[in-house]
Amino acid sequence: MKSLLLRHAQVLVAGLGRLCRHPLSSLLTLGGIGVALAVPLTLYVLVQNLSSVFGDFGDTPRMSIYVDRDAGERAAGLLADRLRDDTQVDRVTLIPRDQGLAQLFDLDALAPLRGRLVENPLPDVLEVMPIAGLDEGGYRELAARLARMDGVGDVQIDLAWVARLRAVTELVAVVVQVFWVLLLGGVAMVISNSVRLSLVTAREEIEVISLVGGSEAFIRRPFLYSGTLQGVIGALVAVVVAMGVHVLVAPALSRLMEAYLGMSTVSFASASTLANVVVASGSLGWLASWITVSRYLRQVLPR
Amino acid sequence: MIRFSQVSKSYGGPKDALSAVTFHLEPGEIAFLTGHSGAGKSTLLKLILVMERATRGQLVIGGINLGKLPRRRIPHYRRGLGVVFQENRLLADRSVADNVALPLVVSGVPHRDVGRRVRAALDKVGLLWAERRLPEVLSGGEQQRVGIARAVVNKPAILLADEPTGNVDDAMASQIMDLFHQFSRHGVTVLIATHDLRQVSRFRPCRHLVLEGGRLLGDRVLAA
Repeated sequence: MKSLLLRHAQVLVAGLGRLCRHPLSSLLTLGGIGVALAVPLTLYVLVQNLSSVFGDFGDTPRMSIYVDRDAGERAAGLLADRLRDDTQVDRVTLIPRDQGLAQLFDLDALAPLRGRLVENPLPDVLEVMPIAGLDEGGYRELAARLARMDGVGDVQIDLAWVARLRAVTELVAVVVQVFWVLLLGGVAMVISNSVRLSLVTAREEIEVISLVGGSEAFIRRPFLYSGTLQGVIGALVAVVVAMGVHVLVAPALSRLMEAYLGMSTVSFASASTLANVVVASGSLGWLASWITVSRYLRQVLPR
Repeated sequence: MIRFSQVSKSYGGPKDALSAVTFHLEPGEIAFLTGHSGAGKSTLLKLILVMERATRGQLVIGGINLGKLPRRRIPHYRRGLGVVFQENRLLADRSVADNVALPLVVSGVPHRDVGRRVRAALDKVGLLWAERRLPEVLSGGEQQRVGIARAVVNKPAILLADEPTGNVDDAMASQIMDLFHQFSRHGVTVLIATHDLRQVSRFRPCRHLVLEGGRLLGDRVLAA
């Protein structure tokens, strides 16, 4: 057992040595893998950030309740208190009709109308943020229930916004998955090609080892190690590249999220995600080199 | 030790590369296999090494019927053979000692034994001083002796050599042949393919097998 471990360690070191002996080609291979994997990783981080924000806000449609204008001045405040006690309501913000009008006049297009209206045409408005986690039907039911309350004139609910957001996030998530598959496939091909090149270079060595009684497993082992190493190191390069991209992009993303959603924390991929990427890439490297070496050995060692 | 019974090998051409070859070498016997190039010498050695499989006939080496040897058992079988190649086939990027160690390493011999046995093998061919050198700095004859050290480091029961003196001068050729005779005296069965008939006549007793056009035309024992 110990000698087996020792032999594996020797081959691992030899594999690293092999990579170091051809620095340029190793660099190109590792760089290729790194850049290829950095693309889906970056996209993934982006989607993750957006969907974490949507998870907080986006899935929950805001409702605007227009208070019945005949209900009197204190009705809006009373209604707001009643709504705050409702178990399906998270937050309520009262926008009195005067404030609403003032906000309206702040818009450039409507500014010339300021002071020219005889009467404020707006009702008092309650911005209601329902609790999260209901489905579309649930929110519709809630809106209908609120509409039946005393003093409620009308309820508007923007489910279309939620549907649009969901569609966009789902689309991007699918795109990210497709990119993962495509680019991991690319990684397998890059590693396979690089292993193939080193096999051709080592043809004499392979034949001699085979003739003095080296098993195929023995011959295969260093190539499996170098393929796996390329996958692992390539993925580490990808992590570094994606981190670099993240540093460049994060401020802009943060501003965008601040502007749209009032949230500005942008996070990078979690350690477990990064570990998964490294493990997946390493496994692919192993698999790609196994197939490549086995195919090659069948060609050069005919029986 | 080496038993050919009506062995033929065809590569699909009109003529067989080997045709109904039958002979038997006893343990410790030394035999020369001669013939023009294309006579089938290399094919015969390749069959013993299972680089090729016989088309017809039976081949039993060291008690193993090669026709029934599954592919996955070939490496283990080859560890019982020592091979010396004409172009010595040393690995250029490894030291002399690492080249000689190769058969031990592939058989999983413990690390501490490898060094000792490599030095013993190099000592036998008189090249202990070259242990740390790369093969390319050695002369042709020295490289060939490194190849011999690699072939015998595993203490094989059978030693095969393909034109071992093809690229060396006469003096070195004699030295190399002396080595083969030493191994044969220690009980190793030695089969040497060569076109150099002078080497055959120098060492007695020995077997002399003559191949011609894939057929075994002569099989005689040259007495001492």
